Amino acid sequence: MLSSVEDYVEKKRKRLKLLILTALFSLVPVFWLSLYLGSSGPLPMWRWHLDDPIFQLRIYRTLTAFFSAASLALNGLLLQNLLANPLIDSSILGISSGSTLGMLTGYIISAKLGLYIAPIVSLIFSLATMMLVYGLSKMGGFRILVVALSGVMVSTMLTSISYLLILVNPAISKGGVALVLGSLGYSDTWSVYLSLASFSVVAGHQMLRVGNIRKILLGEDLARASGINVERIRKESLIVSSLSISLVTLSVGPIGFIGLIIPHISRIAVGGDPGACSITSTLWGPVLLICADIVSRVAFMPSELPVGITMSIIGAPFFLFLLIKSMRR
Amino acid sequence: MPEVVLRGSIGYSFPLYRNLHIELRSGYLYCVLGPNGSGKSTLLKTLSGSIPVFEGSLEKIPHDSASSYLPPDPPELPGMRGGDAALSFLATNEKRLLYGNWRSEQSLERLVRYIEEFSSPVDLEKYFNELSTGERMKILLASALASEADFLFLDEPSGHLDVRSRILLYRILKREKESRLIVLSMHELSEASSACDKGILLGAGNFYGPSDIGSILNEDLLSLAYGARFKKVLIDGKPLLVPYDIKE
Repeated sequence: MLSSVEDYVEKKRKRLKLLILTALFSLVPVFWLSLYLGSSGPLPMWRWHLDDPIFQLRIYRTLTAFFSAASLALNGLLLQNLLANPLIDSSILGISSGSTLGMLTGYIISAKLGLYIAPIVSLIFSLATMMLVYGLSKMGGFRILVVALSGVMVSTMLTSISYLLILVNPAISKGGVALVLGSLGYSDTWSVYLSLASFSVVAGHQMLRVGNIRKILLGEDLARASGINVERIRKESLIVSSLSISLVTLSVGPIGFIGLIIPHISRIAVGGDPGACSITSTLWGPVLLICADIVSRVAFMPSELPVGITMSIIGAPFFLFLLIKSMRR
Repeated sequence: MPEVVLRGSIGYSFPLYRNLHIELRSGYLYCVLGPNGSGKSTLLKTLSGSIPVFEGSLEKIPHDSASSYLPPDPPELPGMRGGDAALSFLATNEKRLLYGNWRSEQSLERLVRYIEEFSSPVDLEKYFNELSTGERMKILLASALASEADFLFLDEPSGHLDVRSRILLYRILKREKESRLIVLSMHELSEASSACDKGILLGAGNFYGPSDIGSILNEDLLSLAYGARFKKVLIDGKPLLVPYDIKE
C-alpha cells in the first residue's frame, strides 16, 4: 500500500512525463499518416510540397484536426471540472449542437442580408444553449445523471432542428449533412484559423484560471474561504467555453466525445489534477481525432465518412461504460 | 498571532444573530456548540469569509493570510485520486499548471507528516470517491492542517471519524492552536470539554460566548439551548455533561 505523499508525487510526475513523451512520439507517425493517406489514395512522397493541391488540403485538414481536438478535449475537461461531472462534454451538453444550429441559422440570415454574420449567430446560440443547460442542471441540483440526460435531450432537439433547416434549404452550406455530424472534409485555411482561435481561447483561460478551478473542485465554500469569487470564475469559464466551442464548431461542426474520452483517460493516467490533465488532454486529443479521421477517410474509399460518425461509434459505448460505472456507486 | 474580529449580524438571507462582537485569537482552541440549524455552519462560514457578514465587518489579522473552511461532509470529487485531493489543497490559487504548485516545500513535508501521523492507512492512489467518508475526511483534514492557512474553520471535523482518530485530531489541534486560529463546531459535549479551551453556544435564539469552555458547559445554559436535560459528571476534575432526557 502506498501511503507516502512523496512517492505519490514522484509517481505522478513520472507518469505525466511519460504521457507527454508518448503523445509527442505518436503525433509524428499520426501526422505523417494523415498526410500520406486519404480518400483519394496514398500521396507519394514526391508530391509533398505546398503547391500540390491534395497535399495542401491534407495539411489544412491535419492542422484543423490537431487544434480542434485539443480545443474539444480542453473544453470537455473544463466543463467536467466546473460542473463536477465526469459524464459530460460539449457535445453531450448540447453546446456543440447549439452552435451548429446557430451557424446554419447564421448562414440563412447572412444569405438574406448579404452580410456574413454566421459566427455571431453561432456564438449567441452557443451561449444560449449553455445558459439553458446550466439552468436545467441547477434545477436538477447538479446531479450527475440529470445534467447528462438534460444535455443529451437538448442536443437531440437542436440537432433535429439543424437537420430540418438543411432539408428545407439544401443549398445552406457546402458541407450539408456532414456539417451537422462533424467533419474535417471541408478544411481550408479558415478552418485552421478558427480551430486555432478556439484552442487559444480555452487554453489561455485554463492557464490563467487553473489555480482557481483546482480550488473550486475541492468545494465552493472552501474556494470562497480562500478568497476566490466562485460565481465570477464559473460565469467567466462558461462564457469562455461557449465562445471556444462556437469557434471550433464553425471550423469542423459538432464532433463529439473527444472531450469525454480524453479527459477521462488523462485522469486515470495522471490523477485528477486539472493542470496535469489539461496538458495530457491537449496532446492526446489530437492523436485520437487524427487517427479517427484517417479511419474515416480510408474505410470506405473513395468516399469518406464524416469523422463525427466515427467518433460517435467509438464514443457512445465509452459514455455507456462511464454511465454504468457511475450507476454502480 | 492570527486573530479575527467579527462585528455585526450573521445570516444568509436574514440576520440569524444581531449585534455580535466576537474576538477570537490563536492560543485557544474554540468550539461552536448548538442544536441542528442553530447557525453553527453559518458562523463558521462567515468567519472564514466563505459567506459575507450579513451586516457589519470582519477583520482578519494578518489580513492577507489564508483561511480554510472544511464542510462537515467531504465532497465526492469524481475522477480524482486521494493524493490529488490532498495536493490540490496545498496548491495556491495562482496560475500554476503543474505539480510542484504548493507554496513551499515545507507544506509538502508537513502533509507527509500529517498523513502519516493521522491517516496512515489511507491509500492515496485510490479514487477519492471510493474511499469511506471517514477516510476522505482524514485526507482533507491532514491537507488543511498541512496548508499554510493561518485560519482553520472546521465544521464538525470529528463527525465521521473513529474514536482513535478523534483523539489524534484533537492532539494535533492542541499543538497547532499556538500558531493558528482554529475554530471547530461539534455535537459531542464531552469532546468539547476535554479538547477545547473556549466555547460559543448557539441555540433558542441566544448567542453565548466566546467564553471559557467550563462556563459554557453549564447545565442550565445547555438545557436552554438544546432543550434537553444534562447531568454533570466529573472525570479527572473535568466536567462531562451527559444528556439523559429531553426537556418537556
